[in-house]
Amino acid sequence: MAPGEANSGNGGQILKPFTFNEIVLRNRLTALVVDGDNFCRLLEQGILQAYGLETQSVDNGDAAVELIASGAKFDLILIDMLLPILDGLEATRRIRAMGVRCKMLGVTAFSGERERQAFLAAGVDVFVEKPLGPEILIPILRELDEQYPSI
Amino acid sequence: MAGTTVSEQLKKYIQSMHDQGVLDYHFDHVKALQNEENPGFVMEVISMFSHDAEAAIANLTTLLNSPVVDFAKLISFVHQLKGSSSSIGGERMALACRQLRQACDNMDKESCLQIFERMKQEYNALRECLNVISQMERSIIVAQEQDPNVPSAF
Repeated sequence: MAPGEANSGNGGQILKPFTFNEIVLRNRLTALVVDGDNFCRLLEQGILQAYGLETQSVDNGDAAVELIASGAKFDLILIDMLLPILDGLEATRRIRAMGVRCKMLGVTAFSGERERQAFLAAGVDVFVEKPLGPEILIPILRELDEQYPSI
Repeated sequence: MAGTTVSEQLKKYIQSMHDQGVLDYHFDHVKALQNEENPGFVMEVISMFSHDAEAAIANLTTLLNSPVVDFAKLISFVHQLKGSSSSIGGERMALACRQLRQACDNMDKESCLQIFERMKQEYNALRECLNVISQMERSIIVAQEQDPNVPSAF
């Protein structure tokens, strides 16, 4: 252990301030956040907006399905598994059944293998345990950004 | 200047909470969302987290005190607490939630009660930490209102 380091949770490392400027998107991507928890929804939207995305949010699966059915289009849908009214699994199935092929990111508080298999089978492309971090988001956002032709 | 001192104190306090394992790097993501357009974001988030967590804990208390425990309902509140605590960077509380979820899966009421007590202790420690941060953030905002030259907290 180096001098000055404490026997601590993070090894006594001095942490640099974090910023959301690791990537700069060329395109104005859009995202729908579907999360029944107010706090998580606020953070998830905040993080996506910090990366430059335009976001909408709903707090239940039924509202998400209705929004998509109304014609709203998104580059990315972030959807929680546990949702009120209509759960994330069924909402995902119905959204995919409408022919929606955008990237869907399934999130949940607990990432067991059972949950992972169920969410992937329902139609999400990526399954992630909360919280959503840059290490997961950045590759996805880069991929989505590159789908648009360069000007 | 008072605001500069509080800003430095805040940075050191957050660092010490990292060092003690009370907060993990996810809190840094939350802090990074604060900007000039929303200087009170961290306080807002902390307030929302505490309010929602205490409501969930109250619900869990009621459910665990019931003669017949509804483990499905328990799990839904544990999910909420795990999601929010991990999102704000409360690693130890999130770990306790994970253990509580396992006890719920096993339908083990005694285990649930023991782990729930531990989870509440972790929540109290996290809440105390977040309250200190919130108070410092408020002091910085007040100092900035009095003197716009005071450095911001972000």
